[in-house]
Amino acid sequence: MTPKFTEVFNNLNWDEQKISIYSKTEDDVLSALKKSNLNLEDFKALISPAAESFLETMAQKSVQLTRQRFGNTMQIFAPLYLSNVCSNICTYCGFSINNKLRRKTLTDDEILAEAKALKKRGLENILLVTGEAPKTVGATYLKNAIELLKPHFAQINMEVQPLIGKEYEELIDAGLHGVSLYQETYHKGCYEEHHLVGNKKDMAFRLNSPDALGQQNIHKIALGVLIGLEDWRTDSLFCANHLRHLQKYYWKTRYAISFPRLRPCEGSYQVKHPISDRGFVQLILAWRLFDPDLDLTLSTRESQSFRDQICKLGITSMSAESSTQPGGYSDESTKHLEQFEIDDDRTIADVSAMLKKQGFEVVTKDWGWN
Amino acid sequence: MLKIADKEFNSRLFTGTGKFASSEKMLAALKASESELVTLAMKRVDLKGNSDNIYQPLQEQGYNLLPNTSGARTAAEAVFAAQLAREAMGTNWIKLEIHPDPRYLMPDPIETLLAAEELVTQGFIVLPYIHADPVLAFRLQDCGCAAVMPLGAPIGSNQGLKTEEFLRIIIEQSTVPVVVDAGIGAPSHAMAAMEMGADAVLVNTAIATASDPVRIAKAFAQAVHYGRDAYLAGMPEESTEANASSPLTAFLDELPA
Amino acid sequence: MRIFINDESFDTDDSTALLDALKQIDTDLEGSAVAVNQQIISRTNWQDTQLNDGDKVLIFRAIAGG
Repeated sequence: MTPKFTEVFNNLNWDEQKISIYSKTEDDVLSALKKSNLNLEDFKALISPAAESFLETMAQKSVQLTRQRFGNTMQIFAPLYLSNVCSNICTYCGFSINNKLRRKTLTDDEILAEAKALKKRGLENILLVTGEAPKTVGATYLKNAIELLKPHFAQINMEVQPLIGKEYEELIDAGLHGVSLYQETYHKGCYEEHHLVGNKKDMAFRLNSPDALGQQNIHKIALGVLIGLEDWRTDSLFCANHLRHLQKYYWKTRYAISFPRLRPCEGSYQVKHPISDRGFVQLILAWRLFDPDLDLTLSTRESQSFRDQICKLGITSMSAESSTQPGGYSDESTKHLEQFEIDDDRTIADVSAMLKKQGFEVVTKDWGWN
Repeated sequence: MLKIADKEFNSRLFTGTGKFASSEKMLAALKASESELVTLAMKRVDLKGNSDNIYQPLQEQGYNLLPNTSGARTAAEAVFAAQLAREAMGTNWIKLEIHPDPRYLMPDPIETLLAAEELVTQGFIVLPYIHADPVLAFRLQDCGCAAVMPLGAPIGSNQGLKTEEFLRIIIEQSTVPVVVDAGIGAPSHAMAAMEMGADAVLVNTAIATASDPVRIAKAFAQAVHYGRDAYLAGMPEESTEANASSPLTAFLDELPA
Repeated sequence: MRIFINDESFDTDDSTALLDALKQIDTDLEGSAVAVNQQIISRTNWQDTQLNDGDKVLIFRAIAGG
């Protein structure tokens, strides 16, 4: 049996890694910029404070690498929130069980109505999202949703609670293409502090779920940290270790990195370790230089003008016209169910137009044989 | 220390025993090479002639034996050859090589994968000889082979690492040891393979057919040793420069604080 | 009876053990493997394996190779 990520994770010391990152020098950055096969030490240099004065160079290289690997394409997708019922308390999230929100889980008809609304907007690529409510919104519900949606969409990805291998296997058979599973934070103490109630408390289970996905030969795995929970540099470095582990053992899977930045939501959470816009750009560029084959995803959490600028710096997929409330595409009156505030609320048509103007070919459908 | 399956090796130079002018010359060259693993073939005995028995001296001198399935053109033949070799030499290590093409001796990937799956099931320690195909290397690794042996160039050609770019990929991605085998014609080729990160190299023709096999065997031993050192030292990469065009990050200066 | 060893025919007594047949041909058996009618016979069984008329014995030996 191949080793699971916790075996690697348990040998990484947060404080040591953090010091290692912050000790990187300009020479380390220059050395990393010259290479074409970067290792984890190079990634540390690129995300360290020492790289802050090299953003323009990093950006130029990132654009070149992204174009070489991806051409001038940008994938567009939209999240489809199936349910906001949740049995966890995550202090930063609007769906927390202790937040007074109108809870909704979509019925079959409602799912199909959402699908219709999204198809009208020209989408072929969707991301199913739920809270964590395994009894009502578990593998059975998800399998049914995928089966309902498969005839309508070319690609169905999913961002839900971590499941076990057998459940992933069933969903993949039903047509699931990829899974996003963000660790939120790799810092044990911070993770405990923010995940107070529910299955999400089990950090090890979450850490090892991407391995379960890899073992089922899922097409795509997206990793990420919730930027703002802890020191973003160290968290991202841990995420890079996670990526390398998965790439080593699950060679048939392709990988993506997302950049969820903490936003205000229902609830009292204040961002403790905010990342500046410069830092956010540096992070995206560092990932692109570290691994030119990664899909880098940008959500609508970011503002319109910011997205317009950074979309050309190495990003390869973007969500658009997002609604984070279940039923939000077909019924726009229900305003009180949101997971986080959207900042870029442009329509898909508008975002596509912006991208085309910048020289991108917008891809709403990835390849597929059916 | 190189570890393959349950064995450890001080030397990362594996050697073949074929094509030497005599068995005395072969034994002398092997000694000079400091190799700890040698390949052997299996053949039907010539009842009339009295061919040298090299098995005995090699065994006595403590070499690890790696019989090969050379001559097999199908998976079934390779499996039979492996069973014979196991019986004859008392080792379950086998170099799986299937080359139905007698001119260039290119390995058959399909028969090799089929044979590997069967041999692993039968308890062999399988070291498959393949073209430098990264996906084939993955498949063989997945089915339980103890190492992979991608070629540098056709057997006996002495052309060096023609498959260099693909060897790099295999070395980067493999979770089992990578032994570059075939085509290594000079100590510099062996050194280059080691600098790239190969776990070991296998050399036969270049040593056996040199004018001074003992001397070149020594050179190979040193080349492998120094190539490994260079790899472990962390060699600087060739530089890649970015092309500057119009500024991409100036917008950050204009953002509100 | 007549048996074949590496395609050469040999005449032997009717109940000859494999080991005896091999001894007759006086070849070095170190590092050898033997198959009778395509079935590999392990060394420990050479004494107990009876040959029959028409049997094809093949002896393989380790030789130099790459």
